[in-house]
Amino acid sequence: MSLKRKTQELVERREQILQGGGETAIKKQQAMGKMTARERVIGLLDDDSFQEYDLFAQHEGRDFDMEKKELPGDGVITGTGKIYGSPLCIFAQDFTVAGGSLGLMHARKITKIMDHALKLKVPLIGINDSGGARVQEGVNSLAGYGEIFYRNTLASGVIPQISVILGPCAGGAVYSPALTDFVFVVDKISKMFITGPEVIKTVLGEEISMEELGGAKIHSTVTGNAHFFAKSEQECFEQIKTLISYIPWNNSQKAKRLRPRNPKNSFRIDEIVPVDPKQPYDVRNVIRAIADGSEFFEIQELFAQNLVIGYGRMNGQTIGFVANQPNYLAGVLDVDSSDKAARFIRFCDAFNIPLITLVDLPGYLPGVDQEHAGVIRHGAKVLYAYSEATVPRITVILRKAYGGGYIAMNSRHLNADIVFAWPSAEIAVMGPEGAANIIFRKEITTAEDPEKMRKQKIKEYKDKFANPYVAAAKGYVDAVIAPGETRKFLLHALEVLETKDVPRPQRKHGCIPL
Amino acid sequence: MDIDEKDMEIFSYEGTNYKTMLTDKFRKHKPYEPEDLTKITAQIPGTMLKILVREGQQINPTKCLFILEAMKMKNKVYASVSGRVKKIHISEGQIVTKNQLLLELGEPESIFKKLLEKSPPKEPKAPKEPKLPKERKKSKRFKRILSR
Repeated sequence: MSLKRKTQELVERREQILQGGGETAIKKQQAMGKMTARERVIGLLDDDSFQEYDLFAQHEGRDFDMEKKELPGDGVITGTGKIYGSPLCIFAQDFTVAGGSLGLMHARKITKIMDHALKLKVPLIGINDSGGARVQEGVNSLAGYGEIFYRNTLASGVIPQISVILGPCAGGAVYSPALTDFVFVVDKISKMFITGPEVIKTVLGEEISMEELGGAKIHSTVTGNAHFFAKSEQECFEQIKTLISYIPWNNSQKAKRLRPRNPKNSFRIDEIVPVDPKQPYDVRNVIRAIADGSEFFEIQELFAQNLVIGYGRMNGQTIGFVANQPNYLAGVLDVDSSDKAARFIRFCDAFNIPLITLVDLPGYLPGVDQEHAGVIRHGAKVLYAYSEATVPRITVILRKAYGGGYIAMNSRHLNADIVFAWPSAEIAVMGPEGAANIIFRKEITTAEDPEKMRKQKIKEYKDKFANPYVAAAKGYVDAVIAPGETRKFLLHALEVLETKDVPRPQRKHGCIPL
Repeated sequence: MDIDEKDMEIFSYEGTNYKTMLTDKFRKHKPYEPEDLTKITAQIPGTMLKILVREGQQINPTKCLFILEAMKMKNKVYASVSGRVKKIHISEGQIVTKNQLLLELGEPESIFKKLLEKSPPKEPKAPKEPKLPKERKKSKRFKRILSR
């Protein structure tokens, strides 16, 4: 056979496999409103940047007549590509081939590309769309899952790992996304759960639809398993690209620096925060007022809205912002927002992204359900994550900073690098009302007019403690700054912290309260 | 900007009333209700195979009350307090749904009752009983289903 004919054979073989599960299966996929795996990979990556591996992989099923079946690529597409010129590794499960089910070779292809990503030290993107384990391959498919989880764990904190759920991802399979850093979901397409509606019905007699149990909305609002919610796959890809632009390739690098830009004039920083701590405002506007180009890329926007996390840039450099959101629950910390903050802080620390914390909270959310849900254990994660972080940590206390909440929000006491406070800051054990009721209980109850006395004492306390100067006098606040000066001070602080180097004692790993 | 006054509610915290929005989760949270240990309910749906006690009988946490078949297992159901069986709400062979009331105990006895009411120490102590339920209470606090 001449080389020309051999090459012709290659082209034909390739074409055969590139059709995935065939016309009928592709039509079915489209009918569900989903793109095919190949369309997804091409749609997400830079034009012509995808290079596929293991196109000719054959499945390992030898029982139940599986040996007679042809499964193109064994139901998964793997390879390398680029987003905005940044190289990365990617795999996409192909639902049109045996429902994207995971057999031994399918898993081998995934673990191979994972090993590759870890070797190259580039991000890994996994697109999940699979019916689950390939039952015919029995324990081999379980082995496959386990080997993926193991690599997810080894790669954690070394390369960014991104999971995109574009179809079902059920049973053990969901633990791979759960182990990764960012999970993207699309409305009506993504479904994630450990046990499905059928099993729940037979075991517990509870009836629930797949969407209500583990749809995109639920994971974005209730469980917090998802980080980004999109209405369409296209929107989802745009979100992934934006995220990639903010994070570095691996833990020994910094995120790509862009050209510095000034914030937009429309965000007037001295008009956003009302002086009265009882009044709400959107803290994201404060971030926009100080970030380059007023751009803020929020993570987990719909989950635990009382705390805001996300990326922006300052002087072109990626910054992780953590901020209490007075618009929701006055900005309290609770179980969910603690988990949200702690996880984000640790990702930023692992990947050399400086942290800026904006503080405006009354404390921790009271309630039996909070206490019983373990707010002690969850709240501790925030303290741990901040204390452990060695990236530059800067805090700006905007307004109220009361009690344990104040300590948790990257205070000087957790060894923040620089703590700024606005003149509107109130750093105290609790709000004036609560404090006056305790300190002056006797005076108030025995007064002729208790209400008048209470008001007077509240004012007394307010005048004395509801300001940043008590803390500044003790060195707990490094500088009291005008709102308008915030960006200038932050830019300078970030610049001097560039060379920050904090050695930590040798240890295998800390024991974060999980 | 971005603030819709009509979504704002008052959130009271340590005597201060903050104007803010409530999250869905907070809105949906249920007020706490103490658990009534004298009411034995089914924790999983299944079939009532055997009833091992009768009304009026004195029982304690070591006494198996029912065999409930669920998830292809014969599950033993126990109470976590002692007491007299006031009413049995189920018969053998019946299908049981989740959280269905199976049995009611009369006034809880000894230790537990004392704990609940914080009765004065003067009251005569039951000589034998206190120790056993006390230890049990620690390790097996809740109504539980043991499967074998």
